[in-house]
Amino acid sequence: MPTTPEHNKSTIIRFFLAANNDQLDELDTYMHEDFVTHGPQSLLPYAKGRDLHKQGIGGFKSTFPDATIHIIHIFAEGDKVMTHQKVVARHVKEFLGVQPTFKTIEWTATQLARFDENGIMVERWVIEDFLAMFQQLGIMPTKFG
Amino acid sequence: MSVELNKLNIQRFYDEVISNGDVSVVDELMCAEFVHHGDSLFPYIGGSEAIKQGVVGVKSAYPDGHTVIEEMVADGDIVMVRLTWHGTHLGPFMGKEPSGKVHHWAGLSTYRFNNEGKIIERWANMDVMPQLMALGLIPEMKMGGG
Repeated sequence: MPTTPEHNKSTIIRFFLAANNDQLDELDTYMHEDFVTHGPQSLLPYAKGRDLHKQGIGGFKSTFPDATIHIIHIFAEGDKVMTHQKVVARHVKEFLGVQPTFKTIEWTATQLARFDENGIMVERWVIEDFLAMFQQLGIMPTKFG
Repeated sequence: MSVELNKLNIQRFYDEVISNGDVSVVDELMCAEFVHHGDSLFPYIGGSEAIKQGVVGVKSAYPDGHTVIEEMVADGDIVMVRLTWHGTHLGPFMGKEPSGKVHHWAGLSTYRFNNEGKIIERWANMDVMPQLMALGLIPEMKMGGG
């Protein structure tokens, strides 16, 4: 039975919930084997493969164990679902050479996900405000020019 | 409320205002009380007048600055745009002298329309770190590799 925009939206919600709850094996059910992420150009422009994604999400959660994605907007048209979300995490482990500050940091992200006719995620573009994250950790400047 | 008309107006915004620098079109497409919710570089812009000033400022630094709309997704009163922006750095920008280099970045912007079909609000995530690195405003960094 072909998927619907409503079904795809609920898949995204479940995907984020599974990531929030460290249910990495459940993520398999939502991602195509060759799932592609187009990420930040300067950091991780292209990632392909379900296993790679599980490793990446698992790695991020091992550094930020309580990181939680909060959906601000979720919309769908055709085979696409877009979300605007906020990530909130406490800095409790060393990250990029910065010792834990125990501060709560947060940043926004926007994602555009594409689904196949079976309702499986095949591709997504995501832009996260990593600059805000790095600024909150003191890795990047807050004033420019 | 027409989803197709909203998409057309977003295309016009990027073609006529952002790429051509024609700020006279802003009042037609956008409410005066437009609000932009951005990311760390430009977290908040209040009012369409500020948008016009921003367009003029960027155009003076990047005269050929333009946006390419890669795709749009629309649902109800929302249009979301996946875009790339490109421009040649020919004027001072953020305290940096012109380099003559081409700068570019990718963006995902979510626009909300009001009942009159005008843009009233926007949430933007723009991957501007490549441009900031090219300008020498932030250090190069790689996050991959373990």
